[in-house]
Amino acid sequence: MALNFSEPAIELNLAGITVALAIGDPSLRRAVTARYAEFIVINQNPQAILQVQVNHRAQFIPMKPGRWIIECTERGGRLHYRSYFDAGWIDLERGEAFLEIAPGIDIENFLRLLYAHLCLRAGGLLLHAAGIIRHDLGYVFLGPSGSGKTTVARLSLDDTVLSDDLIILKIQGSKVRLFGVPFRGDFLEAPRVNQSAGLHCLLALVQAPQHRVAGLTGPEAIARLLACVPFIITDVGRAQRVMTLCREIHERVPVRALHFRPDAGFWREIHEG
Amino acid sequence: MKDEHLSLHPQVAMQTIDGVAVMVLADSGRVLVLNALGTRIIELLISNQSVVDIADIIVSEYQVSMKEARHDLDSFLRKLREAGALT
Repeated sequence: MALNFSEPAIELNLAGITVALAIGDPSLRRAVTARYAEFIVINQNPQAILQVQVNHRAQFIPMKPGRWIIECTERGGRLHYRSYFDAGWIDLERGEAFLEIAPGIDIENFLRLLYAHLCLRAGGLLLHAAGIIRHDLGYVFLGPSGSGKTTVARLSLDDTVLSDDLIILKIQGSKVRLFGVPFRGDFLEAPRVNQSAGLHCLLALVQAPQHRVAGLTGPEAIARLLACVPFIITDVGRAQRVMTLCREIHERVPVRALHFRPDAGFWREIHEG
Repeated sequence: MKDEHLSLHPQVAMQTIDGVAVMVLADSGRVLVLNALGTRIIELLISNQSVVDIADIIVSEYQVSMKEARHDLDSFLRKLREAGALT
């Protein structure tokens, strides 16, 4: 892809996966550089180049009340993305992506989609989960929106909160490594921490009156993991690959259910459990 | 009960884990975990058994009446159809 801008690309590295962001618009460059500062690297070999073009008239879907719409489709070997004020495509084979965006709109939704696919190609998973490093060990708290991921993150401020919404897991030999990402859920004020740790356990969140750690059967554990993989299970081949990865993660690291109420006492239960 | 042959939808990914089928419906992202009987029924569907044949096999393997087998099989297949897992 020919890059039609004069500024050097901003290289973003998450879990060892580099995306070169070719952004010509000065305002967007500044915003992206500030927002993702902890994850910016220099002179890495990018797995993908994302060209971002700001268009003052960009609007792709008429606004309507209700949930924020993001449409993803596949045609012609490309993944196509469309939302209200941004639209683009990803060509994974060529390592190219393009995003057209209205001024003032951030590129994060598209970056999440791009990284979800790049992670899978690299043998990893972007997971809808909170990630915390405690005493040098990685803990992942799984669950859909509203399950308590942000609550767990807010109750763990003495530890290193990687994210309250998305993390990356990569299998490394007989172990799994947990990586932070600069993507936030509701805990917007949390620092964007570029750290990683060996994964100690995964905990599927269940709100309850008392803290309790409970075992899950293999199929239950795999199903909990699968349900927290965003964006990429839109094709049966990828679904099979994701299932296999979830099984491999489960073979290496325990997946349990954490019944918890909103106080930090759940940590004692985890350590004792 | 119609004597039809049903198949898994092409957008269903499935793996058997600890003897139990875990299905992912790629169209919707929905995840289904079947029990042992559900897994057996899916195995029989995949091996191209008709619905009536499957009911006969359930009667012989699980010692239930034909009426009960057909009722439960109909209900299970209806749920799978509604989830978009069958064609």
